[in-house]
Amino acid sequence: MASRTETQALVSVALLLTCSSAHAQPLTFNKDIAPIVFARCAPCHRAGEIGPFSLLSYDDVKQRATLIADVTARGVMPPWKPAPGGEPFADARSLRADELKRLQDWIRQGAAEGDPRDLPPAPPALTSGGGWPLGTPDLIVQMDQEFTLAAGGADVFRTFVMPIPTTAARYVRAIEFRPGNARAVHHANIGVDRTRSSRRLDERDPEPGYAGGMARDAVYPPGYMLGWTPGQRPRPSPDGMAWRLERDSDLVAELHLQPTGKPEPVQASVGFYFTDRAPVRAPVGLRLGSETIDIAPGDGRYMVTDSYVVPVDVELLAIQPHAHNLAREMEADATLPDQSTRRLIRIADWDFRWQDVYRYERAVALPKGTTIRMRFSYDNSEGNPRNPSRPPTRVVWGQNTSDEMGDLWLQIVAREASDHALLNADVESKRAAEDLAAYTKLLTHDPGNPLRHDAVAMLYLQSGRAAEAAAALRESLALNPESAPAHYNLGLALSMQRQFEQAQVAFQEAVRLAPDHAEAYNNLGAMLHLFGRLEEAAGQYRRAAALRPDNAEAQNNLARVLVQQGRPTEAVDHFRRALALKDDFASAMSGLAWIRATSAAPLQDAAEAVRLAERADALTGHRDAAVLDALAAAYANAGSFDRATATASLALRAAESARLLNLAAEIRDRLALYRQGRAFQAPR
Amino acid sequence: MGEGMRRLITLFCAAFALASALAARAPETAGAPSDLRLPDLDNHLVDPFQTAPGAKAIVFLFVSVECPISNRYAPEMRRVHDAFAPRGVAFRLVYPNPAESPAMIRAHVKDYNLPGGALRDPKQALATFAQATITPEAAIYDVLNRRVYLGRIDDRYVSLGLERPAATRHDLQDALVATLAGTRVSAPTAPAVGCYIADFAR
Repeated sequence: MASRTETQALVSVALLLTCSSAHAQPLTFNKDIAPIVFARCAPCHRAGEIGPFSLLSYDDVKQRATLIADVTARGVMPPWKPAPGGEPFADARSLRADELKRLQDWIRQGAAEGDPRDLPPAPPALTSGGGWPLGTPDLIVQMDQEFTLAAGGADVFRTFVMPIPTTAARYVRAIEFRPGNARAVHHANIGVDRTRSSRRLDERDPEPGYAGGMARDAVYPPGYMLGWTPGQRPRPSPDGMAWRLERDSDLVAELHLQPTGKPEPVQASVGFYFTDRAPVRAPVGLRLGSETIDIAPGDGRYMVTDSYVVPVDVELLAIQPHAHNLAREMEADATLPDQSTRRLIRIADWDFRWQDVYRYERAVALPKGTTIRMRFSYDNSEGNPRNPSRPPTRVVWGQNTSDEMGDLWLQIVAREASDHALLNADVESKRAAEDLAAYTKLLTHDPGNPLRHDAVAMLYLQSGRAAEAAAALRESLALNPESAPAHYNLGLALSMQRQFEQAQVAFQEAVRLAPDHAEAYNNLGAMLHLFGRLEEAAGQYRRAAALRPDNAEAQNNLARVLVQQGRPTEAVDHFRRALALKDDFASAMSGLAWIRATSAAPLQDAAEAVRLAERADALTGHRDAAVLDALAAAYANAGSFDRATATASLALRAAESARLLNLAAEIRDRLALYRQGRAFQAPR
Repeated sequence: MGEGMRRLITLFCAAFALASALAARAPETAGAPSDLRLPDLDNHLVDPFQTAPGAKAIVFLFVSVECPISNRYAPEMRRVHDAFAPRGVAFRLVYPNPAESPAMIRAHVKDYNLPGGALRDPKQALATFAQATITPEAAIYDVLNRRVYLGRIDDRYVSLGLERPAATRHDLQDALVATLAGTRVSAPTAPAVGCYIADFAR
């Protein structure tokens, strides 16, 4: 009996096997493999793209079948570094497990071609044939000369500067990078330089571009991460989140160039897509990591860790880890206030050459109080094949490829627009603190260099540590007394400490040394303005505006002097000019609102006053005393005395906590008027 | 006939000078197969082992037109050629992919400034004989047509997708130095990284 059951079981197993093998059709290229290859490989592996050979036909794939089996099994291709299992990314290029298995099975079975009627149409080209995937750009900039990459040798890191011919500030909804020669350009980091630092570096290098990485003045637009990696589809910013490109800026592209074996011409270009729609949400670039990296030779497990607690509810849109050759593993996660965790990214085998900006498929909601943690490991031992030094040497933080970096950039946006200012300030101060640690470390090694003192002073200024900034600037001036920027920055530091007389002297020194220093005239004007020397202040503001017609601050300041001088009609004109130059300029908006709310006809305009003051109030996070004061005046002028009273009370509290005692006294008087149902009228 | 004779004469002299070194090692291959003929770019069949008089070694460089790693080695192949050709080393480029036509190969040699005469190996006869499996891969044969080295040019590529910033071992160069000095090649094989010759089989 038992034996019969066993026999039956064997028979059924045999039947099952027969059945399953009867069902398993041998895989063919045309039916089973072409859809995978066309979707996952061919976007890059086709003429004109970075893939060094085409994968568009059976013959293309068949003559590389073992290679394809090898690189896909080991995850080398398609190049996609993040491990699965975290928050999903948009445009992930990796093969799904079932796709990988089908590909491997097909190759093992002998890589049959199959029925030509099964072959799907070839995929459309991403950029081949001169096309731009997002359509014809509004503006194209290109490297003015070809650079010739040598046939062999080490990879080349070179930065190219392209002036952007714009006559006014524009809102950019997308840019698209075209490598020009896809097979030589491995990736690009893209920044914008409003100064002329990058151009000067370019001019000093006889060949097109200059050797090395981006200058400190070439930066991402605040809150954005621009770059290009092969196979990446250009993505427009989310609706209402365009970035502002100031006029007369330079586009700066740091290219990682990989020799191909023969000399290669390189001439990259960038297309801009503009929008007229001003952004309504502004992202913030949060940076975690370390700038004091210092790895001993032979250290195989150096760690960089950092964390950040988000101060308001935010959404995380994109993430970009950055390090050089020695980094091995990277991970970042978020612990929410309810103690649940989200994995933000994990890369098990970092490869500098495949760095990317990873965008989340859906924004990751991180409530206030969420802790973001990052951890990068580095291997500076001889066992790391990517170690550029043999034998290993001490490696410290720096921009060169022989140095190391450890940055994790997160693009986050405050859920409530009113939280933006607070979030931005918090993120900036974290970044400035880390920069300060780095530059202080560099200064201790190079104390006789005034530029090192300047760099440290700038960071103190950015984090509001005026006394330390002033001390560093005095050190710099002791080494180099004729530096106009150092005098100018000293003026800033002193004015932050309310040492206005000394600040005036410093600004005067700056304009003496640099008679075309528009910002120094503006600030000199501001000191005179504070001393009540209105006519002289107006003169300095006018010089600043004449030197830099796009200087919105000078226009705004001039308008404010004119208000005090009882010339509101002229003031309106200059506030308008300030807003034309900088349409999110809250101070100019509230100044103009004030005139519209408190003047007699024809300057009076209740509706415009409320509209401008409300927008200025939203932009400043409902906590700026002068803006709240203007908003209260606008409400009163429009007859909304309850709102005027409530807003003036907020204004009063803000003025008191900022110790603006004169303003507080004025607001108290106006509050009394609003309580009686009366609007405030500017004295005629 | 005369060519082969003269090479044999040279061989005798060399063998005499290095008698003790040669006596110590067993041949790794029993010389070249007499019937192996490959088409050159004019479709003339030639003996790949036939060299100019005085040649002390022959290097076969297995390459292919569209293999990126093979192409990236072009400057290094040129460098090794320029260092060793004047010292009596013959170089042959071998193209084992039948899909690569003489016209494609001519353009490739020119674009990448590749060294040595080019031969096609559409049936992978020489690749099979030399046991080469990858492009780029180098095989060195000594004056007795014994294979003394097979493998990578240098160790810049650790595996597909893993690359050193610069090579730390120059295997082909080291093997040629040893071969010319008549000493044993310390690492007679080293794994090459690149494209698989087996994929080219028709």
